[in-house]
Amino acid sequence: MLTRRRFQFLAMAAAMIGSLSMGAAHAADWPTKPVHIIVPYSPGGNTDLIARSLAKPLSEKLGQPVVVENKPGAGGTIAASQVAKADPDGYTLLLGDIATHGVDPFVYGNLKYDPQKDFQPIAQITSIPLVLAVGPKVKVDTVKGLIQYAKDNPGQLDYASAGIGSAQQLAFEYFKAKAGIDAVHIPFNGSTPARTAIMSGEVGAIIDGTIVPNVKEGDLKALAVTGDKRTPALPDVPTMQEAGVDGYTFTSWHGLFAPAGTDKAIVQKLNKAVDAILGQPEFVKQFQKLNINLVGGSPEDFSQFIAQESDKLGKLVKQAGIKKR
Amino acid sequence: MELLNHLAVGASVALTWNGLFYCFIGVTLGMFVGVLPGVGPLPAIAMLLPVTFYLDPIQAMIMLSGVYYGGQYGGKTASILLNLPGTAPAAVTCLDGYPMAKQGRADIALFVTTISSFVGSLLGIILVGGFAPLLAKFALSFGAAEYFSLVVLALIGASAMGGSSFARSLSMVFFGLLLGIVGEDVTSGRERFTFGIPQIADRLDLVAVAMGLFGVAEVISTARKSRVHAAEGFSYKVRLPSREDMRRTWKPTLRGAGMGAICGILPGAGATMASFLAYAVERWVSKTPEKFGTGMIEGVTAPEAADNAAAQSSFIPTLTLGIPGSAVMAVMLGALMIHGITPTPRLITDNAELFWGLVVSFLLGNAILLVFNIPMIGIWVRLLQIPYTILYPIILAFICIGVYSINSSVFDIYLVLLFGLMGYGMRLLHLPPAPLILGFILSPMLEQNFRRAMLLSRGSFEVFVERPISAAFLAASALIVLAVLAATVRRALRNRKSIRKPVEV
Repeated sequence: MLTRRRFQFLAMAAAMIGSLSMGAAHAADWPTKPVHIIVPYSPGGNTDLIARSLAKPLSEKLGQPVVVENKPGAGGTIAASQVAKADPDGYTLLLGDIATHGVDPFVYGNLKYDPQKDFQPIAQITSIPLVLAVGPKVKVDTVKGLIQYAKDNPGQLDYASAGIGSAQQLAFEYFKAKAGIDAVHIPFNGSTPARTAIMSGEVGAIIDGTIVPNVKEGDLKALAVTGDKRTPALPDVPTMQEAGVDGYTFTSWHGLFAPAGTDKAIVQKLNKAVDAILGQPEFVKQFQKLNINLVGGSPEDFSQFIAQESDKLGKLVKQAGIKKR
Repeated sequence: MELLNHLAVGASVALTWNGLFYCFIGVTLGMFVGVLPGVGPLPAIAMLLPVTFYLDPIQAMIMLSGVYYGGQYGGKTASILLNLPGTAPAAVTCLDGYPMAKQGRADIALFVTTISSFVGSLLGIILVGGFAPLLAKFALSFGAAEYFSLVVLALIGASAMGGSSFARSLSMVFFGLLLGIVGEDVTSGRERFTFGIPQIADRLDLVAVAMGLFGVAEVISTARKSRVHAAEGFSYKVRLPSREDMRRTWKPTLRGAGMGAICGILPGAGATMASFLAYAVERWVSKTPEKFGTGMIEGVTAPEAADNAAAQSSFIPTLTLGIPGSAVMAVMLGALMIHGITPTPRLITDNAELFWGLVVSFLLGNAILLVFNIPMIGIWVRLLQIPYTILYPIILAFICIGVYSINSSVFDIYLVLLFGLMGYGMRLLHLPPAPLILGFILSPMLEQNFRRAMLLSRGSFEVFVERPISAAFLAASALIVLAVLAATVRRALRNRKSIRKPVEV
């Protein structure tokens, strides 16, 4: 007899089978509804700008609207843990960065996600070389000069950063270690106030990616860039290695992520679309003006890159003496 | 004259069909999103950003900035009519704007604030057009020590806000300062009083706190009084302000505009500081400071003028130094830079068309806003005709949408309800909410700048008095404290002479 309970069970089973087969259909004709890209920060920063620039051409390629949603909070970890737990159906993506997928696991004690296990990388989007620069307070012209200045004037040099555990802090701590110098860390609440303080001469030095216009204007003196190559935005500024700091490279980066378990077909389709957009010459040129270099490549490349970065950043956090919160 | 030539260059860009079109689109959009408390211009600008990549940079900037300053006009509407502040400056407008609405003077409040917004904007535009390169240096003259002392001045100057006793206000300022500590400590990177809740790891959301203390608390207390009819004695025609209203308005408007224009140049102060300071100054110069908070027209016009002046003058650090004072400005900076335009003091000569085109479009946009906002007053005031039983559920829904839209966080909705209950409790105890908001907003500025100044001076307190600007602010704060003490002593002596009567609270 078909009792009510048995009927419920059958109905559920049927629904499950139905959804399974629908899942397969989903992957093949994905996307059939709008795709959401979650930005883990407020509007007004690089991450938001990148997501919004990507959304328009991506929606043209996918034939569905791509919606950018800002979910700021707790250094990007709120958005990242939400996407980690989202349905791996390809409709919820994260625009992650060096914080959410590099530094945060070493800085946040109660992180609710694993950047490598809980996510399926789609593609690396950017690589942003940082710039070592001094403000009007420190009158040196070269990296060697800065190192000498720090050694001659113990306790004098200070540097600004966007906060504890920020890429700027780690990059400078790395520089301190490689150069064998000391400098006082002055943390700010984001990179804008940090930049203001260096321009006014309140703080001595900084390593940051957003200061390129101020360097071009002559408000700040760039001593080196932190990438392994010179950056198109500042072609005359040497790399750290060229300036004599052996083995020093540090870049900030962004990438697109889906929750782990997302169908391979969807990942491939997304990767192809994103990779094609990142290769468009006018897109590349537009971002070069902002000192943002576009990367692209396969999901596997990006996976490997994140693993390497994780090792390096973990060591740097320990070196900098940053405790988990 | 040189300026006329510059303006002619600007007009040749802004007064084309395209220029007019984008200016019109920008300001009308801004006007409407600005009215929605909590939503405001930021999401609208962020959404328009990708569109602007395909536009001429001048048109893009004309449109985006139109949304921004258009939004400044709308922000006051919900504050005055419904006690719903969507931004920190709007919370100041609530203080006397909402009492005015309760007295049936909402139309007059909206009218005079529209005028003072316009005047404030004009002054800001004059600064941008006439003195931008000069003032850029001023923006950099403020360091950690200066900001700390400015905050001290603002806190002390405004402690008597809210029309309650100094002791009650001061205790609420301190409570606000404590609430402002919740979240990550920027200097050490540790979390304080977050109880493991990631949603408050940054800090408690300002809009949730403000809308709870003002808006939700208002809804609860009105519901308890079970009034089902609209406010009595209401006229649904838009009246013009009386000559007396205008007489009381123009000086506060100019003072507010001046203060706002200066604060707007400082990226670490901005419109928030501007409106609180403008309000505090009006109280100080008023002959009847005790009446503030009961619907004083000076208390709405000065902060509104300050807010708009700051909105315009904040373009100075953004365009000339690349230092945006707010998230909205940061988005606009991004729009500019993606077109390859570098913010520098030379932008004015290098990109004369862009700069003067923007200045002319500001003038044009503000004129459009003035013309559009005045007839809208009649429509807004009609909102109050809706019975509370229908209006208040709608208000609560708007509060929830507004608060949610800021961080896309459901948690913030619980937060606004919690602060609504707290605000209601505070009303029963006659504790004023405005000083609490002030303390809450200034708390991180006070603490971070203090600790940063100490880090920079390597632990020497002298830095606060060695730097002249900082020393001047501290001296002014000390004077205010002395003046308050002197007044208290005088009053105490007088009271002793006269017949004993219960102390007013």
